[in-house]
Amino acid sequence: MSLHYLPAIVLIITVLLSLTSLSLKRHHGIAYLICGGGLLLTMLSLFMQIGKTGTTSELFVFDAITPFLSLILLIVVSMIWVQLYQWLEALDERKEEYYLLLLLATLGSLIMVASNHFTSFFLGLELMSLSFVGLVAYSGREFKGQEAGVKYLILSAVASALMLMGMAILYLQYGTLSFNDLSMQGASGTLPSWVTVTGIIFILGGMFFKLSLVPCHLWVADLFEGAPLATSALLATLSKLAAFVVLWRIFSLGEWHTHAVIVDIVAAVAIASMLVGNFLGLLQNNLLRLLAYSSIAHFGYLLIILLLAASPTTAFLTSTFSTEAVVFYLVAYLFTLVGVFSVLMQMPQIKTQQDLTGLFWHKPTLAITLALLMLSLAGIPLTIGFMGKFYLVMTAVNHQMWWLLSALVIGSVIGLFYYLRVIMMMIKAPDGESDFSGLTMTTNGQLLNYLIIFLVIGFGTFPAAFSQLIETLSRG
Amino acid sequence: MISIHWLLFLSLALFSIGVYGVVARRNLLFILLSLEIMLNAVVLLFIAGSSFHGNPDGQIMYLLILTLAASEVAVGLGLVIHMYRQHHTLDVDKLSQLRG
Repeated sequence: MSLHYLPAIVLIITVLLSLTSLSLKRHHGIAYLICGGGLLLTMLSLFMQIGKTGTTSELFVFDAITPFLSLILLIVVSMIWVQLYQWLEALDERKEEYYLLLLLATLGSLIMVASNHFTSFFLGLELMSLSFVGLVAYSGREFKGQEAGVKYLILSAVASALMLMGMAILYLQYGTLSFNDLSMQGASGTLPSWVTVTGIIFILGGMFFKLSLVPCHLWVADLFEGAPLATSALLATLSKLAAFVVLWRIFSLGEWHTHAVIVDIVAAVAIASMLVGNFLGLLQNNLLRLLAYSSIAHFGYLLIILLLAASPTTAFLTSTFSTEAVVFYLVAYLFTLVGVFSVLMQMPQIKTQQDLTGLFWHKPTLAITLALLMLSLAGIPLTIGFMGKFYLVMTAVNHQMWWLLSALVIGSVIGLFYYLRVIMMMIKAPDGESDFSGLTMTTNGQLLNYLIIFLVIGFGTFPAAFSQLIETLSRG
Repeated sequence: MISIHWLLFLSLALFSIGVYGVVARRNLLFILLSLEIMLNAVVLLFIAGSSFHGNPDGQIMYLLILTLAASEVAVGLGLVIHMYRQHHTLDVDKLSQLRG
């Protein structure tokens, strides 16, 4: 038993502990602390693995980049955890189970990120999605929460059925479920090659549901609006990051990009997601729906990276550059998004853009934090979001993907408009209708705001240290 | 022995019936049943692949998918009961509070 399984084992023990304490005595504080302690220990054990030599087993792969991505996941979850206590206290439900489901979802995403076999991928995915159904439908007495729960259940079940169908077809074709074996298989299968293409399309379809890319994006805004706020934050970060990492890993398997149909489909989905996501965001007044549409667009941008394998490389960038671009973009986007959600969790009564009118004159720290985060989402220089986008554009230019680049530019310009509108609302003179008297600033929240400002501006202005770290890891 | 093509087509046909059920049915209970049909189509294909290639991976996947189907239905029925208590109907079209 190597050290690599330690984080998962620590999480499992934490789950068991919190389950035991829950059944003995309900106490919100204890559940909160157990959850936090478990997350902290898991982070420590992951931190020890960074820079160590990796190992690959039949079911899991622990290369240089896996522990880093897992650590990022854990940091995101902990940033949400910091605010959970106050947020759950205000919620009129039983509170302790939320931590249990949160830990299980985290465990599922850790398994997914490290998976090297369709079986482990499938188990991690289901552990995560079933926990998420509970998290989404947590405040089931509200109609909205219930509706979002039912929608998420159907959506995730259809997505996993599609992915399973794809796996079954690939299994019939090649007789193996392991990523390693699949990447070694050539074009020789038991059935003609259209069967392989069908299987890949099924898997991609399921993934597009999970990442809510364009043809499969219909319910994502409903989910973000209806689910409890902390769950929306987790849905936008945890579940999407894990799904994207797996998609990215399996897309480089075998020779998927030699099938022209697959490349066309992914390119079309990427362009459609960038344009449709940003257009729909433009029409939104509700902040959470706006974030949902912006996340569609952002994952559209990320899909560009998937296509890089298909086009010939030119000489002036190293071969690991696309890995660096993916990791940098994901990290930048996740930190920004978790920042936005934690600001929103500090002011739970604010739902629409009008509610924000004049926030700057009442709570300057909150307003400045939110404004910086919006700039980062839009990709304005000196924020971390700009560096992520810079990496992405540089890689795409290097591979001469002009169609995708023009969609990216048009999408970003449209996006700029609605991100800036949020900032405009906040610095308008207060109209007396918005009531911010209910907003109480907690020390936790204040500290978190400063941390977010530090991360977004610090890494945006001085990205060198961070990008060097990622570079060493992806060479690893 | 039956040709592997027939099994593939049978499974895809079952899967399409399931997809049609999910899209067309309005009753939550029937949507859950259709999801089961989809999963069973997948299971059939896994078993076929397992016996065709002579390795046990597919049968293990069958056991795992069986577990998934059971837990999904457990969660789903929980939501069904909750929904029936509040709305006294299982029509998913009634769930339309969230509109942008």
